[in-house]
Amino acid sequence: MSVANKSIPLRLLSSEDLCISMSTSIVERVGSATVRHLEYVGGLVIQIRNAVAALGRTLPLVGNRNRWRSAVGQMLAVGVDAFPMVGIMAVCAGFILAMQGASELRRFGAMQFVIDLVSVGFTRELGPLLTAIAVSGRSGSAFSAEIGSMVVTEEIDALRTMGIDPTEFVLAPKYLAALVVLPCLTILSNACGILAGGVFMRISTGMALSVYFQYAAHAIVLRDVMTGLVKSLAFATIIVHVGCLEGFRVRGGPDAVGRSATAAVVKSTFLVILADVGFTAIFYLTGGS
Amino acid sequence: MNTDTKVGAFVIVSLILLGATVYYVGNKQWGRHLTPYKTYLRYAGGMAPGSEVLFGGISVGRVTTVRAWNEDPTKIEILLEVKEGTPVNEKSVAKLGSVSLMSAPALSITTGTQRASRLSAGQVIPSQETVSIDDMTRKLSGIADSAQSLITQVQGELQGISGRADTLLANLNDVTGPTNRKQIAEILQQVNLLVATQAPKIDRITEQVALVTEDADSVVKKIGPLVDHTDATVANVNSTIDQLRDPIKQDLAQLQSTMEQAKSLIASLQTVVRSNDDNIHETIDNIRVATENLDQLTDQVKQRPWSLVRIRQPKDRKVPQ
Repeated sequence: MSVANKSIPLRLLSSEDLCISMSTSIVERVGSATVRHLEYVGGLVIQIRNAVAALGRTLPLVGNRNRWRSAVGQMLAVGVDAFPMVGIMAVCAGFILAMQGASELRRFGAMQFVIDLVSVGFTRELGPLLTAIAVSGRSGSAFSAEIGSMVVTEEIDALRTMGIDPTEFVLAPKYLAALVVLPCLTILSNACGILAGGVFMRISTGMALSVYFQYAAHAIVLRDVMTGLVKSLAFATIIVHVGCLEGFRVRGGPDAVGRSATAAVVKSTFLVILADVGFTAIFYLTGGS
Repeated sequence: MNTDTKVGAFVIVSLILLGATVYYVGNKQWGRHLTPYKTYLRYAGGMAPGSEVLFGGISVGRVTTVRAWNEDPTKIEILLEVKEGTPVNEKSVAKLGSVSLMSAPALSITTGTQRASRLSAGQVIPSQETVSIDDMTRKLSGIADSAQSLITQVQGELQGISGRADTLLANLNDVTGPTNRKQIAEILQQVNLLVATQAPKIDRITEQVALVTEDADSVVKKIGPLVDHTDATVANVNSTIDQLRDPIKQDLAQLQSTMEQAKSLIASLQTVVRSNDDNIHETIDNIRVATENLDQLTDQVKQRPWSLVRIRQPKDRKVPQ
């Protein structure tokens, strides 16, 4: 019997068929989202690997090209120019933390613990996180927009045509700059936040700043400082690579550049917070931080 | 200012800040010379490595290890490190403490005494147990139970007291009722009448009392010298007794000592007599035998007085014719 000659009868879809169709659709969506995210993470990892490999060629060493000049320019843009904003954010956060802490701790006669709260809170957590969010919003979007524009205007293709690795030429200087300036910004952010706590204690309790700093130094340990710096290095990696990956993935016209800049900020901020949770959990489980 | 200068200044300032922090915190954490000690407690109260060590209320170090002691599992071994030069001495006592209610538990060391010798590194600080919150809760619950029964008892007694008070108030109401008030008013009127009628008599009695008082004054004046004489006599007797008191006391003391000596002498004699009881009997027997012999000798001497000087009886002298 031939199949071609057999006519297929038309019929309405039953509820069972609808359920199967919907469940297939959900599974398909979950599967495609998983593949998409895995692809994104894979692209990110490959890009990080390439960037780390290219970092050596960006350093100001004999035999290297002058990529470090570009890195210095990026340091200015990412770090020095961002300091006023990061500093003000840290001061405000320090005041907020001190005031919120004091409003509760005052009832128990434990105002001196505001110093511990601000010092330890900023050194371990708030300093790196605030800095990362500020840099993510300011520089992550800029990286994405810059590289996206280069993609749209086919500059990246031109670089490849000229035999220049876009990762080494575009990404590595930004990565090097972020690795240098983000810990620096974190240190300055910590200093600003702790200083704000000191000013608050001076205003509210009349405590001298020198005494405040002694207490603050007594509250923190070297491990707190180091964990904050390790976090800032990880956040720098996330911000630069997410921003650059979003730029490299731009397809289409100038409107895609805007979308990629937005996506870069959203994704890098999200990943920064996720990474922060992971780091905090690791430090907590391995040593009581 | 060019780009390089700005970036350089930015990085240098950050590195200086980091370096200063690392130097200060690291020096505080590792750079100090610390002296290790240890102490043992039965109840560590949540103490953990890193807990503060207070000497006389001042933070001087940290607890390094808290573990069950192998040699005596009922005790917890606490190893601690304090700043070099902290005057922990033999009279210092380590106990569980805290800076405030909000703070974590700390190991509090008392300052001891000034004369006690210092403890050297690694020595054991004497400890004092602290009452745990569980114990306090248990005691408080015991007090609460007893308070509950006390309150019940008091409530019962209060009910009785309030019932009696009600009765008392009712009685008072009866007493202060209109009938009694009327009667009291009548009594008061009669008292007024009585006072009015008896007033002249009372005046006379008062005058007589005044007269008697004047007489009594003259009697008192007369009695005065007698009382003075009596006082003088009593004073003399007192002085005499005072003078005689010491000699009498001395005599009594001597008499007491003499009596004690006599008592001891009698006791010695009794001892001697008891110890020589058998000898005395023997002596008395001997004396008795000696007495019998003497008696016999006396008889012989009576009968033969010549035997004292002669062996044989001399012939009777012939009376000269």
